[in-house]
Amino acid sequence: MVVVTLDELAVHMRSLTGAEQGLRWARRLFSTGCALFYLAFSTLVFLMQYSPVGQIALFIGSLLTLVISVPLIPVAWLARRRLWRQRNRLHGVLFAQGLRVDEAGRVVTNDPHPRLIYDRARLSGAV
Amino acid sequence: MSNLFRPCAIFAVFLSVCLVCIALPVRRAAAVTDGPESASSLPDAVLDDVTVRPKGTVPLSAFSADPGPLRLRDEAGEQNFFIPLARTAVLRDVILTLRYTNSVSLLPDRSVLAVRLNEATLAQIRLDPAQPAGEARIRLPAEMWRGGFNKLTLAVIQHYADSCEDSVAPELWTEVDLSQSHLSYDLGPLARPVALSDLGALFSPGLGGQRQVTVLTPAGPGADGLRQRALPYVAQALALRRQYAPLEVLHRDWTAAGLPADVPGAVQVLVGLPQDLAAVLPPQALPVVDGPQATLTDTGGGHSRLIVTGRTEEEVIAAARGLTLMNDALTPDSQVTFPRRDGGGGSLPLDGRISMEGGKSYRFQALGFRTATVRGKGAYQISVPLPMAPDYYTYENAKVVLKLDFSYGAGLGAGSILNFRINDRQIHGHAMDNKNGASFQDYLITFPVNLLKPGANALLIDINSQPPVSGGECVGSRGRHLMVQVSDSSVITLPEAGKAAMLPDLARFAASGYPYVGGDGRGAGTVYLGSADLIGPALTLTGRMAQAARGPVDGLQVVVGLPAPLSGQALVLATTAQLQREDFGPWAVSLSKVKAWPYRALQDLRTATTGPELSLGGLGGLLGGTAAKPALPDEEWMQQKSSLGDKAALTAFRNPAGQGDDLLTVVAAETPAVLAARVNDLIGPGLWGQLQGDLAVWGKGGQDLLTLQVSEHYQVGRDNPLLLLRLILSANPWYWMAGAAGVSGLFTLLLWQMIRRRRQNFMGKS
Amino acid sequence: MTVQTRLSAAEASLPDASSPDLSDGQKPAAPSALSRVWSWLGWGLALPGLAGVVLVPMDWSGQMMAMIAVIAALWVLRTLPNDEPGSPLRLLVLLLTAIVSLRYIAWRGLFTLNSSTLISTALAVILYLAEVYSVVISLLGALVNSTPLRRPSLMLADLPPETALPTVDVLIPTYNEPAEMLEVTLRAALQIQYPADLLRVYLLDDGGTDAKIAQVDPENAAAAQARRTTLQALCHRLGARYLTRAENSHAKAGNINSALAHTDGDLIVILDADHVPTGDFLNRTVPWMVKRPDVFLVQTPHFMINPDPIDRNLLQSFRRMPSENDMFYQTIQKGLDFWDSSFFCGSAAVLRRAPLMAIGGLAGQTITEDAETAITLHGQGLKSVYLDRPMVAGLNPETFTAFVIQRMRWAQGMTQILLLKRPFMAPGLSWFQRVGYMSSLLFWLFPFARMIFIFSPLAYLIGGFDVYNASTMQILAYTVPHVLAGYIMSDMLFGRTRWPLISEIYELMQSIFSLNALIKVVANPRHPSFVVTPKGDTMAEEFISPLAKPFYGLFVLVGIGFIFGGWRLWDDPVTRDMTMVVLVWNTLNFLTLTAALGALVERRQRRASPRMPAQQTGTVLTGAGVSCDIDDLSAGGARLLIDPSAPQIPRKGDLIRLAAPAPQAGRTVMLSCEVCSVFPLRRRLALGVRFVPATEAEANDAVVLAFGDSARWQFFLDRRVRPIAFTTALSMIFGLIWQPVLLHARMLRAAIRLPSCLQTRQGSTHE
Repeated sequence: MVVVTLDELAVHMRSLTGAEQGLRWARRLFSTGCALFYLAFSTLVFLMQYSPVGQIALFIGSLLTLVISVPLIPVAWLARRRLWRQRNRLHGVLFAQGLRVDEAGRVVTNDPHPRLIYDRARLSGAV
Repeated sequence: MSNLFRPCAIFAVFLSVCLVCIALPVRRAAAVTDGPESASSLPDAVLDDVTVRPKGTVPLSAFSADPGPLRLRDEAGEQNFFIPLARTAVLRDVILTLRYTNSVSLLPDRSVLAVRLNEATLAQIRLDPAQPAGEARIRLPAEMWRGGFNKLTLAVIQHYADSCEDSVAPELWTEVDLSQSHLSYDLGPLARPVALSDLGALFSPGLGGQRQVTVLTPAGPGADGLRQRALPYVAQALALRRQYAPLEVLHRDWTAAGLPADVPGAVQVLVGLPQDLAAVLPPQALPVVDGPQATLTDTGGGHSRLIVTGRTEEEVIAAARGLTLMNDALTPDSQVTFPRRDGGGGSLPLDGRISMEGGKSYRFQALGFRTATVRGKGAYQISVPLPMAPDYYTYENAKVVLKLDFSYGAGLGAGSILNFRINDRQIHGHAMDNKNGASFQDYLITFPVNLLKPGANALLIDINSQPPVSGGECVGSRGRHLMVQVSDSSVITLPEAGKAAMLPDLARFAASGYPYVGGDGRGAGTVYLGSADLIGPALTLTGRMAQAARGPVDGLQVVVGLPAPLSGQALVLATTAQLQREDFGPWAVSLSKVKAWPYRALQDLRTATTGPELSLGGLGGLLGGTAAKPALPDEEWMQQKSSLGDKAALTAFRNPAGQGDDLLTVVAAETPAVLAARVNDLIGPGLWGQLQGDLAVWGKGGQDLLTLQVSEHYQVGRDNPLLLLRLILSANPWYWMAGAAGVSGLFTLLLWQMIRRRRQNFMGKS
Repeated sequence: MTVQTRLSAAEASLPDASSPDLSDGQKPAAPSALSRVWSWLGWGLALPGLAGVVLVPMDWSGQMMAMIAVIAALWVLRTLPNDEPGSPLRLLVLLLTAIVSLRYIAWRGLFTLNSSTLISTALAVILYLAEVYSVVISLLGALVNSTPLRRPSLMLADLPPETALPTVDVLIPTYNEPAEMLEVTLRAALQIQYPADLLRVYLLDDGGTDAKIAQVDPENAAAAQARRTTLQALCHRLGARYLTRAENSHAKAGNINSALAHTDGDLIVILDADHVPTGDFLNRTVPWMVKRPDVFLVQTPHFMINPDPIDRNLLQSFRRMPSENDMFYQTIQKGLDFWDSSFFCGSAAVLRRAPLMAIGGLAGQTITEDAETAITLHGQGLKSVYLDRPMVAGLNPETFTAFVIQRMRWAQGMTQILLLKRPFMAPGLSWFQRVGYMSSLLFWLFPFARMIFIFSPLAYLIGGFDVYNASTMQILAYTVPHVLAGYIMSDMLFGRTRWPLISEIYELMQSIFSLNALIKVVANPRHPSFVVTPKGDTMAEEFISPLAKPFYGLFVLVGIGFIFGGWRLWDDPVTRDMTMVVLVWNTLNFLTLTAALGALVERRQRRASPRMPAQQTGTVLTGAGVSCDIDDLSAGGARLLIDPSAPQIPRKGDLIRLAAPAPQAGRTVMLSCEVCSVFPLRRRLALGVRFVPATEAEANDAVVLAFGDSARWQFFLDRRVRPIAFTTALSMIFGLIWQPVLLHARMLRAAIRLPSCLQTRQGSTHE
């Protein structure tokens, strides 16, 4: 039986919530980076092919986007992988103790009739 | 070490023996010549110089489509050359010099190279394996030549064994070096008086045709109307008779003192009113003028004079216009009058300028193709002309449908094939593998329409007929029985299309004169000249445009002087000094490829700070940003002032002063003389065919041609807004994206509002 | 695990986690005149604008550039929070994918249907119609599922105390289902928590009607008589009421209609013979009937406790992967509910008697009487409610043959409704109800489209007809973005309840048979007869389903397609790139067919009533009592996990007493069990026990324990309803489809050698 104090659970949930949000942002950044890269690259190819002169604003915009997106992709990808692993590990700790986090972000027992174990919103209200 | 010595010694001996063997025949071949002593060094072949001065030499390669040496293979191979000869040319003496090499495995007494002129055999050269390389000089009697195209045939009969040999053995070959073999000839003056029916022959593309002509008009402002409106017609009339060969037009004014003496070219053209002609011509040379009239008379010594006149200036112009339509064969006299039709303002008939319209079907017969039958063994090519309109535009996945009627006879062996090509793109292959022969009706071939480019295209059918290869070498058929026929009842169907084009495009200009030649044959635009001494080059260029459009361009005027503002569609010929005007400043002619170098007009080349060489910008240069480059002034990026040297520049861009989509084409050079010379180089087949992009710069003799795409494309379309919209969106999808973003935003808002209202509706009820 | 927390004491049980979408009391503000003008103006601008954006032609270069921009935007929008029903971001994603697909359809229609020969053009048009059908279905689905409705949980306790509860009649129609199955259903129905005097359970026996008993064949007549006697005794024993009728006209609808005449409850619950209700079934459904008198139906999902044949034979991931009907019951019905067009699914539903009797009971014009009745009542302005909480536990058909018979009947019924009731013109339905019904009914025409998608590439590869007249660049510019947009849309709408590529396998499996069924219906809408779905089969050992022959034919045909494709690739240079594209298309069909073959190998399935996982503790009362975990549970028995070091470990054959809490019943049930097997499992000792109830009450308790708890079904569903990445789904499918092919080969060889293959016992239930 692993004894988990409420404070440890609070710390655990803070890092888990942080990991979840971080992962969401990492996914967004990664998708945005890939999308911008494809967009900029195909715009440049299109400009070379179909209007070699003019559209200067578009041309420079694409170059800047390319310059920004190229480093963004690997960074976001690594962050996503790290946060994904961290989140899973944190969830694993709860799962090992028969707990899980429900849709509303509360820690409950992992069975058909879940019992509330920890609710950050209620606790912060209560304290 | 010793075991290396012996092989080296043997090799040395073998080498020396070979050298002795080769040296002997070369010296012997030089002795065979028995005609007039040929010039020691042959003039380097001038590529486009088919029609030469009365006495001269032309290489055989000028009459052959394929570059490089001619190789005659198999047991009986032959090659035809079609040599055009002007009807007015009087041949005194023609000598053909052939330099050939034959296979060393031929039987000397059974291998012969025969030379035929218009199917008559004139000489047979024995192909001796002992002297594989040789040079022969054959006299082609002048009486066997006839006006128009003469067929010179080189045919070989080759054997390597007395009996039972393979007719397609690889060792049966003879090679003729076309660039070193040449035709030298001597032309005499025309004995009979010349008539207008000879005008076509005088300016024929063949031997003896005139390559240069001088047009003379009375000096003074009175003849400005003639210079402006009559001379273009005259230049076009003569250029059209030259068909595909270039014609240099020179222009001089005559004064009361008389005609200028040193006028190049055997034909002088005088355009003027009777009173002006009377000042310079003797009374007996003056024709009786009763309307728009053209007269061709001899002036002795092989020279002749064409007079275009009329009672009034309008009649002179009408006479010049009539010349462009005159059918030489129907005017046997030396003088012709063109009675004015009522109205007289109608556009010229579109004769000869048929280009296929979108959505229609054409029989090959209508495109000028006659049923072609190819007999005998070997490789042949049948070409079907496919003229396309200059501004033909359709959806890129549209398909052209060919329904061919062709047939081949029985007895075709393995390796007999048909390959169909559009210009140089292979579209279909067919193996003639039925030994009883076959005949096809409506044989279906479809190919994407974007293989056809504006102007002239061709469906090329490569035919290879081989007799059946039978067992052993003894039994072999000559293959004379083989036959392939392509009928002119075949049909080509073009997909629906509209009229739209992306300008500027020099390739489209070279292929059809577009946009200065409208689809209906009417001239669209005016030629402006920096100074009067540029009339010659302008007329040369106008003549070449008429040849490209395959018909006269009605209403094209050549105006001396650059109007201010220079608006509308215009073709400008001027020196860089004459382009110094302030309102020419915004011509965004940038000379770097990718990122526009907003670059002042050409005249800024004049005050060069660095060398004259035109530097090339590029993506690399821009990204690299090498330190050595001078600081780029604000948005002008790079300004360079240097002279054009001996080069000329031809550039086309949207006329900033014009409204809408008028095109401005500028031909500029340092001095009028340089400009005239460079225009002369430009109209040659070599340079004219390579024009592309919207800027071309070339030097003497058309060397180091540089073509770039520098200014911004714009879309021109006439009658199909949907097609034009498609053209615009395809080049600028950003407009579509903006529209899609706007519509989706609005749509989402409306949907969300509807759903929110429905959700509140639920809340009230649940 | 003990957790010291000050909160746990106060929280006896957790309030329902799902945030209530709908709360009481707020009156919707009537749209002001100004906003109505604005919305008309907006629509007046937006619709032509959308038509322009969709129809304007572009060369492939411009189109590809535009599509890359749209797909890039979709890729980013997907990661933003858009699972909030009806949120603007979600609507924007759906709209952009719709624009991409509409552009593809417009381009296909305007530019690619012109082929050189008549036959090619005809085939091209047929393929085009199939593509238009699938785009229409996806757009209707997008609108319907844009705003899934999550209703709050409403219990009887939430009603005002003085509310008079309605009387409820539970009708359980049966035809040829075994008595043991009926006993479990009857016991569960009788245990439903509801005032006893207001609840009556009826067993409607169509297997023992007077006509059956008086039929000519003496053997069947005797069997019918025996069945009637047995079932009457069973009802009597359990306290249910037995009803039958004179003859078997109008199958299930007729059976229920005749029962309606003999019953008088205000509400009617219809349960199939294999649908075992949970204890809180009425507790959660009746309040909606009480609160809203205009509601004629409260439908609940059909939760299945055994995998369908394709899941069992091929996918074998019943617990980890959303099952085939999760997509309908967990997503589509919630979308239909928002648009007030969720319909009656024949079972696990509560109907109001008054409106039902007003239209003469269940409509009998078509063989899917449930949807037909719902359309009629919706047409009268009545409302329907859908609760997405599983409160019945049913059985999927075991063999592929039974699965196909069931689906053919559904397809025929729905097409009958489409042809006879014509919801797009039916009076009384609002436009969004028409959209809802058309989306549900048109779905069942998928066999036509699926077959056309299989045969079109073969027409090109083998016959040489150019059915798809486009260049490679255009395919990259139009077709690929259309496929991507389709995936993005379905991933957002059904990502959690239907994994990628699974739809293709299920639709292909049903297409061949449903096709000829549909053709018969279209030919004569009133023709199809009611075919009963055989259920409850058990298979002694693996065998190849008798329906495999058409799939072998298709498999060979697609193989021939590859051979012709290879030859065409070598022979014809001009159409080489088109041939490559069609070969890729043919490969996708090949993979789906291979998966289909895998699902045709019927796997062993010995257990009559399937075991479901349980996360409960219990106590084995032997001596001092040993605490145990109940690993899985069914009406017949359970598997208990005990600590190996516990004293007095029962041995095989021992009789033990098991005490297990049943929170849904609010008490602990005591059951006497016989230990059938003892074996180590997951570092603990597993006891396989069989319930041997001494008394009726104990038998009831076994059913209550095994089937009474809807939270257990919900928990089971929540664990398997989860999204999955496309690549993971692809690798899973690839991993699965190969061994069945080897299995097929081995079994075919065996079938050829073995003269007759063993036949299994064929039972069937009335569904």
